[in-house]
Amino acid sequence: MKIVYLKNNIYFLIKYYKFLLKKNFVKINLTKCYSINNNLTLSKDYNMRKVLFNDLNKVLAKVFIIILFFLIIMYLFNSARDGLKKIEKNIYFKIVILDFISKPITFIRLAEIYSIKKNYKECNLYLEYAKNMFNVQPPTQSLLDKYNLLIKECDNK
Amino acid sequence: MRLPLQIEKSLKILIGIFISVALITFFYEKHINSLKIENGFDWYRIMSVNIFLKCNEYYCESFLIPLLSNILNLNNNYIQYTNANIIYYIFVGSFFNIFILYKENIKIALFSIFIIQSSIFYNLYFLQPNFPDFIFIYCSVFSIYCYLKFDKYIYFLLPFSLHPTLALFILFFLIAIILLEKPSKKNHITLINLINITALGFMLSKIYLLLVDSSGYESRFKFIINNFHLLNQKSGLLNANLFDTLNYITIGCLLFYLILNKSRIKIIQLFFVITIGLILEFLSFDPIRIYRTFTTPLLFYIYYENCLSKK
Repeated sequence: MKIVYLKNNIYFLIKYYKFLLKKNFVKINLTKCYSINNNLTLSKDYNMRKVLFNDLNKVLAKVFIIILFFLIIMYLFNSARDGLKKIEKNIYFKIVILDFISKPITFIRLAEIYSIKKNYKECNLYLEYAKNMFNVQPPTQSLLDKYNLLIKECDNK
Repeated sequence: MRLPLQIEKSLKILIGIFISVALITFFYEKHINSLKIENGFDWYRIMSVNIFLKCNEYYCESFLIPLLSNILNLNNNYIQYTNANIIYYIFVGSFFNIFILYKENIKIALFSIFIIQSSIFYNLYFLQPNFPDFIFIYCSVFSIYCYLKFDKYIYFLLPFSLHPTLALFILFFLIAIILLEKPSKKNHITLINLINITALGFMLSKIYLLLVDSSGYESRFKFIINNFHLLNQKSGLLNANLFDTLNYITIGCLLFYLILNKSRIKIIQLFFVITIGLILEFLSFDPIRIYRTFTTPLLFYIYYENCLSKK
């Protein structure tokens, strides 16, 4: 146990994972690879499969790479979730988005979501928006039915 | 004089059963009062009811025991859930005691049981059985034993599913020890295995958190960062007496043992373990608990590695 050994070990680890990242996108082909002797020199004609890869490690090496990708995806998901929440709270952003929409279907959908959440104030508001939009784009019969159903649900409560 | 093998093995199992029964009675007596309080500690039961649905707190990482009690349908009531937790603890503890007595020499086995039990016993006075700490300690000790004796690494997933942040710190310590050793083929294989299992185990909890509907406060790191300004008032190290947090009986016995064996490196490791444990205790709000759960598996590691290197 000495601090002198730390540099060599970290050097080995960096080399190992660099190699894995290079090769693992296509296929793990371990017959021709860099490997490390006791003196930590590089030699190409060395069978790494016997030395470094016991049965468990073969699986784990693949999993490690998959997990690295997974990490990136996870943080993307989390950031997207936070961003959506912030948009929902921001009033000005909401107004700008709603002004772009000129179809009654979207407003009826939003009203349906709020009725499921039992937020009837919001539901009524979006239904009014939808009613205004009927002049711009005349609705079909099925849409009108749904609209009437939602008005019954939200107005009574 | 040496006993015949069959009698020796049966004696070992008898000792194991005796120790675990004593442990059970002790543990159950301490907690019979806390079982009667209905408005007590009810976090994990609610988590087990809403598993894979919703969880908004920092303890959502540790999902194994709530999942188990959800599968067995033992989360209907507070009393039922605490009883179930006690039964898990009894099962795991008695399994470990018998296992180590069966596999090892009787001196080593008894000393390792002593290390665990002497550092746990003070927790039993005040701690709820609903915390995953006791099972975490036994599982991490078991996984360290399998890693040292049989070169098997998969059992490290158990502590990761029980308490991922502490398991991360424990495995960082194990990796750091091997990083400081002389580079050889064997050491490199262990290094790669340990790093892969840490990544896998940490992701195991994160995958669970991805599936759950949460508000973004689900991990313990975030809890510490958000409440960092409260550390001066609520820190676990400052609120409790220092001699309550330090498990000085175990540390003293281990130090005495290591001085007799003249292993200087192990003594340095022991002091590192204690300092890291105290730092972790300073960062947490609960007194005593975190320090004990962090140090006991590593004290076992120091002791058992010393036994293996002697041979």
